[in-house]
Amino acid sequence: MPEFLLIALIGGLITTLMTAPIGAFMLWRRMAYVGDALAHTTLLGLAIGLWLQLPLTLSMMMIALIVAISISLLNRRPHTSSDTLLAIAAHSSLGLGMLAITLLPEARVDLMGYLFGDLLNLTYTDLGILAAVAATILASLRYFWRPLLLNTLNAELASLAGVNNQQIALLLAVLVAVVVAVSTKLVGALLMTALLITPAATARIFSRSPRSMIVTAVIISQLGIMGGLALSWYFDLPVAPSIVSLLFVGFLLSRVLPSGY
Amino acid sequence: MQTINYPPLIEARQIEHHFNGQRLFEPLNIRIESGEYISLIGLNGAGKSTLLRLLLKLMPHQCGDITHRPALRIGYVPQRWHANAQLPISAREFLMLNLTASQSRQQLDPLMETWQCHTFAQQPIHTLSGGQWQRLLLARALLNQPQLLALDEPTQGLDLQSQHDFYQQLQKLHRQGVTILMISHDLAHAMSYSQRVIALSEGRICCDGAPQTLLNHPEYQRRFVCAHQDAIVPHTHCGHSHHA
Repeated sequence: MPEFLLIALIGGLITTLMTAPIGAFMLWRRMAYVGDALAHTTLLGLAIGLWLQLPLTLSMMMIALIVAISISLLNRRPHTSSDTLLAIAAHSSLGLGMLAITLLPEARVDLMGYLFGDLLNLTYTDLGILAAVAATILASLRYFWRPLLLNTLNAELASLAGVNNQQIALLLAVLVAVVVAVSTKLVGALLMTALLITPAATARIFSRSPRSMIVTAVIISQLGIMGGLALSWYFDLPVAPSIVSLLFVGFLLSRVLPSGY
Repeated sequence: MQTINYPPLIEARQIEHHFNGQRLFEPLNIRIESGEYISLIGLNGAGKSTLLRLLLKLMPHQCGDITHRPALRIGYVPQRWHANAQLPISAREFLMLNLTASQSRQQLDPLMETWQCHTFAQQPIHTLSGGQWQRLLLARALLNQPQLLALDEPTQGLDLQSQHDFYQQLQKLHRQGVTILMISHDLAHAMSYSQRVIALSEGRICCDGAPQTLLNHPEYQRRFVCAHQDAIVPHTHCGHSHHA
């Protein structure tokens, strides 16, 4: 197996360890649009990274974090609607990002790679970043599992059980922002939500508990990554669209299977 | 002989709440004493749920002061909410999730049997019937052996038999020493089971006392009995100024 394909495979498999559980929480909290909106904001991060000559993953993560935390804080105020704020943040960032990139004539940006992913160009440095971030995300989910799940089920009951709901909402916003920022390079801003939500939605059919749903979503995501890379290699197809299409087929198949849960 | 005065479970002094720039309540004073069985009644939009949440400190109060007895253990049964079907969690796992570090899993089984939750222990919570759901929430609220059990319209959507069973269970808990504070739309229940009824209307407590004293209270008659009759039989005249 060529080295670039092996790196892509390992990078994809590591990424699914964080996208699947975070995607499950997004599904449970009915926040599928958040991933999409945050992925859009990363274009502004890309432009700022190029402008200030910062590592691009870092600048994309910073912008996604700023947007996620701002929206989480603004949501505490009355008369604010999170989907309105997200729509404004997403499309304003996209517009500002495009303007900034246009005003940087020396910067050469692979917009197709940004929009549809660039999995085959992963480097060992990218692998290191992905592994470190995945370990942090998994450790956070394990440590905060009970408050996260209680808050997802019912915020009032969580509050009586001693959960600080505002902190938990902020924590989840940060986790989603980080996962979206580091995973955008793999599947692109436009296909990000598919990697987050589709495996979790498929896994739901086969799961009887939150934990089993997350494990199943990881397995489905990893099958999607392996299958997508294989399709791309043997039939010369773009990788990220192949992965997302396979995940979609998996979702459709899960709908026709009998479910007892 | 010296008598010991225990502090009330909850004491609220001059609490107010504003929503959308409008004052929802006039400054309210409420004391919840240990061992009471209280029904909180009021028409839709009177602010009963908000008041209950304020008293339980589930939402911040904007003015006034709310004091809980130190180390007060509260059990809370919220209004039924629609559990997200995307989150597969069984009734037993739901209860286990609510156990704190000091509580053991061993106490779950007897509690589930007492409240007949063992028959649907493995069932996902989003598939539970109204009666099963209420039994589960009641079992959850009793996990920490509460001194105060607060309930927000717990019999909403239950059939008459299930309502009767539920009230019997509450009576049993009250006899065991649990203080009950319940929002109720069911005036008949409030009058027959409660020791004290607090009626909320137009942002203030219009009546607060034993059910038998309330029955003769003119404001209670005007705001609740006549309003209730008017809702059933329009144009019924109760002799109050509204219809005059």
